[in-house]
Amino acid sequence: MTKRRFLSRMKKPSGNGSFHFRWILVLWIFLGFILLTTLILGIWSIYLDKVVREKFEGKKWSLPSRVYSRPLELYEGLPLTPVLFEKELEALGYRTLPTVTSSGQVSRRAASAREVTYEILTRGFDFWDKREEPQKFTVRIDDGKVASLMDPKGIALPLVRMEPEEIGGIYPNNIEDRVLVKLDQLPPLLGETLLAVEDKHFLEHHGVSPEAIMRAMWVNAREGEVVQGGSTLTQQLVKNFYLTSKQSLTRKIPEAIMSLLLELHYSKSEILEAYVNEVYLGRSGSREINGFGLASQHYFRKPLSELNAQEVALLVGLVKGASFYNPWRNPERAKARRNLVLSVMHSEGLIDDKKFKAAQASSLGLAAETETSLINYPAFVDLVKRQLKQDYQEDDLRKEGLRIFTTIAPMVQRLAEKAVATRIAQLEKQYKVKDLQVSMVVTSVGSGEILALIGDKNPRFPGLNRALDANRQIGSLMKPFVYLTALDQPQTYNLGTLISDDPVSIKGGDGKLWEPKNADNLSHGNMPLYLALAKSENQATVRLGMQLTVKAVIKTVKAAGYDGEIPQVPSILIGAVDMSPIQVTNMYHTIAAEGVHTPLHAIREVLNAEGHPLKRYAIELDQRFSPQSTFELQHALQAVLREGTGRSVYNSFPQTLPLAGKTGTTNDQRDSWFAGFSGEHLAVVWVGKDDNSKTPLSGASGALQVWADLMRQLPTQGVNQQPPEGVSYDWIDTATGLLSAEQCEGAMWLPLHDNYKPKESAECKLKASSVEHWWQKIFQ
Amino acid sequence: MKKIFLFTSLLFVAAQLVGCAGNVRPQDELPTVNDSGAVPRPEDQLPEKPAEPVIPPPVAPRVPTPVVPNASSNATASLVSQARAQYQAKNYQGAVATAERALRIDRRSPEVYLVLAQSYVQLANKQLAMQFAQQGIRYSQAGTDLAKNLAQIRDSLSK
Repeated sequence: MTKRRFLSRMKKPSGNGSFHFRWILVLWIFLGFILLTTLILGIWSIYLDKVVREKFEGKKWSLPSRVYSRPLELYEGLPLTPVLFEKELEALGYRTLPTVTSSGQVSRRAASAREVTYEILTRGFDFWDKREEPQKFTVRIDDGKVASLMDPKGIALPLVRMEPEEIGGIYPNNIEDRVLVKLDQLPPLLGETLLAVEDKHFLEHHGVSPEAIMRAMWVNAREGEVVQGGSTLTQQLVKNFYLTSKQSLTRKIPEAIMSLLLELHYSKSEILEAYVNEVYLGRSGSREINGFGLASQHYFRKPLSELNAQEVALLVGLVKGASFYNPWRNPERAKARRNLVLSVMHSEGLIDDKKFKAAQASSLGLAAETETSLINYPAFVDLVKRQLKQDYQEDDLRKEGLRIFTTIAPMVQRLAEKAVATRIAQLEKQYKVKDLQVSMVVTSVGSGEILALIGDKNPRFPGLNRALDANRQIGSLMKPFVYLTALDQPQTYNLGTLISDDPVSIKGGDGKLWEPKNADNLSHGNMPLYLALAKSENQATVRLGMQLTVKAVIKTVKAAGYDGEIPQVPSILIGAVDMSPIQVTNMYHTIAAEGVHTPLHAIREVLNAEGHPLKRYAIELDQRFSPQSTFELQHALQAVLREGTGRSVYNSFPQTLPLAGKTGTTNDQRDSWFAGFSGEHLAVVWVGKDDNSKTPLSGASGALQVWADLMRQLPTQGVNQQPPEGVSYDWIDTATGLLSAEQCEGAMWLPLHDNYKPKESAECKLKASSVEHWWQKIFQ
Repeated sequence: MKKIFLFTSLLFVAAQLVGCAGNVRPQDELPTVNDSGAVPRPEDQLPEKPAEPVIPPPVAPRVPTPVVPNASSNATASLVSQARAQYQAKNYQGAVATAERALRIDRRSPEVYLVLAQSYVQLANKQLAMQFAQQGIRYSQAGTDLAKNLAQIRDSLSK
C-alpha cells in the first residue's frame, strides 16, 4: 500500500507553474522567517542594549554602609601599653618587619616588656575634616604611656592620627559586599596578571573571541563535557553583572550580544574597572566577597596597594573558582593555583626569576579567618544602626555606601570582651551556677562617647542586646542620686551631715507599712552621709530620701539623664525601678563628668560614598548639677571602693589610683550591678539571669569583679582630686558632724562647700594610734 | 648594747607620744575644751614658744594636687591652633570638629572651650555657646585674658 502510493507519487507528472509557486512560497516563507528573526533579534538587541546601558551607566552596585571605629590618636602622655598598641596595629593589618619600607608596616624595638619603640608608616585615610597622608613616625611607649612621638628626623610630633578599624557594615539583603576601586588605584601587576591569565587578547577583541570559543568547543567535544570556557573577560562581566551564572546555550546568546554591545558603548578601561569590582572572589558566612578591593581586605587585611606578587597571584587565581580554591579550606589546592598564576606572571615577564622563585616558595600569608567578620561587634553596631535610623532611611543605610565613623575604641572593646568572657565563666564555676548573662557599657568621661558595648556573655553573638534592651531593677545604683539631691542643698547637707540609720517605717497609699531593712539586718545609729552611701545603708538612705521628698529625688534622676518614667513611690529611693545598662550609664556619666550632662552617643560623623560629609554628631553639654555637689558626691563614691561595699577592689589596684563607683544588688540577688569610673572611663556592668531568677551574686561579688577585670587592664587616669572653686577639704567629726582635727578620734577629711561648713567644732579625743586613711594615700 | 637599744626605744616612744599630741595641740598633752565645748582646731592655734625639737609642727590639712600632670598639652595646643585657623577662615563646623578632638584629649583645657564657644556663637547655637563658655570659665584661671574672653561671651549671651 505504502509502496504503491510512493510509486504513484513518484510517477505523477509535475507541472512547471505549481513548481514555481511552491518555490516562491518557500522563498517568501524563508524571507519572512529571516525578516521576522531579524526583527525579533533587532528588537531584542534594542532591548538588550537598553539593559546594558541602563545598568552600566547608572549606579552599578548597592553598596553597604561601612562602619569604622574611632581612630587612635597618639600623643605624648597618652595612657597606652605595648600589648594594647600591638593588638590595635594587628587589627589594622600592620605587618611587623625588621625595617619599615612601605605603608602598613611597623618595626618594633623592645628595651623591656614595658618599654618598646615602634617605627610605623601609616596608610593615610580620608577623614571627615581632611585626608591624613601616609606618615612615618617613631613612637616610644614606656611605663604605661606614650613617652615620645617623633618624625624620622627626630623632631617631636604633637599628634598622629592613625586610620580607623573597619568594624562592620550595614548590608543589602543579598549581603553582596565590595570595596570599589578605580582603575588607577589597581596595582599594575594585578591588572597585567589578570589579563594574562583570564583574557590575553582582551585589548584586541570586541567582546567575543571566536578563536577562544572554537578552542573551547574542540576541548569540550573531545572531553564530552564542559571543561573549558571560551569566555572573554567582557563575557564574564556580562554573565556576572547581567545574567545568571548557569551555563546554557540560551544564556550564551544574550551573553554574546550583550558583550558586543558593551564593547560598542564603553571603553576597555571602563569594562575592566567594572570587572575588577564585580568579580566574585569568595564568601564569609552569608556575605559575598566581590571585587579585588574587598578580597584584598578579606584574605590579607590590607589594601590592594600593599599586595606583593604572590598575594596578587592568589587573588587572580581565585577568579577561576573562589570556593574550589578557598585558601583557608583548601590551602594546598590554592597554593598550586597560585603558583600556576605565578608561572604565567613569570613567563609574561611580569616578575623576574628571583621574585618568581621567592614567591613560589612563600606561604599563602593569609590573615586569620574570622567567621564573624561580617560584624565584629554586633551589640555596638546594633546601637549605631538605631541611632542612624533616626536620621536615615533603612534603604539608604543598606545601599548607599555611607561611611559611618563611630566612637568605639576597639582596644577597650577587646579588653571588655575578655573581662566578661573570663569572669563570667569563673563565676559560673565558682558559684556552681549556670546561664549567667552579662552586659556592659564603657564610655569616655566628658565626651559621652561609647567606647565599648557588650550585650551578651558571648560578645560576638548578635542576639538580645542586653545593654540596650534588658530593663532590670537597679537596686542601690539609685542611692547616689538621693545623696546628690541632698548635696545640691549645701546649706542643709554636706558629706558629714548625720542621718539616722534607725529602722524606718513608711505608710503607703493603701495603708500598708513599708519597712526596708539594711542588708545586714542591723541598724547603725547616726551616720555621716558619706558613710551611709559608702556602706549602702537602706534605712539611712530611705530616711534621707523622705526628708528630701521622692519627687525631688526623681527630679535629680531625670536631670542626670534618665528619660523613662519613674513611679512616685518611696521604694524607688533604693532602686525599685527598672532601667537598662545604657540608661544607667547615661545617668552615671553625669556624675563622672562633674555634673555636666552629655547625651551618650556612638557616632561621630557620616560621609557619603564619595567621602563628602553628610552629618556630624557634635558633643553637647549641659551643666545639670553644681560642680561642688558632684565633687562631694564623687568623694563619697570613692569611699565606696575604699571602705564601703566595693572595698575588695583595692586588693588589686594601686592605692594611688582614685576610682569611684557604686554597687547594686536587688532582692534575692537577682541583679548584680556595678557602675564605676576613673577620671577617663566610666563602665557599667550588669550580671544576672534572663529569666530573672535568683543568683548567688551581690553587686560586689559579681558585676564589680567584671568591672575590676576591665579597669585593671585599661590604661586610665584617676578621678580628679582638685576641688572646684568654692569647695575645700576639712576635718569633720563623724560622731557629731561638726568640725574636727586630724588627730582627733573619728575625724574624717571631707570636701565641704566653703560657704556652708559647720561653724562649730566637736570635742576632740586624741586617737591612740595614727592610721593612714585612704585619701592620704592618694595625695602621697 | 641592750641598754642603748632600750634607751633609744624609750626615747623614740616618748617622742612619738609627745609628737602625737603636738600634731593637734602643741601646748598641752590633753585637749582642753573651749567655751563652746569644742576643741580648738590646729590651724587656729600657734605655739606660744618654740616646741622641743622632737615635736613636729602642727599638721595642716594637705591640699590635693592633680594626680596626673597634663602631659597632653602639646597635642591639645596643636589642635587648638588648627581649630583657631579654621575659625579665622570662617570654617566654624571644622573648628568645632577639631576642637572636639582636643576635648577628647584634655577636657579641662579652657582654650578648647573658648574655640568651641566662639564657633557656636558664629553657628548661632546660643545654648551650646553658653555651655562651653561656662565650662571654659570653670577651668580657666580667674583674671586671665582667657577667663575674660569666656566671661564676655557668657555675658553677651545672657543679655
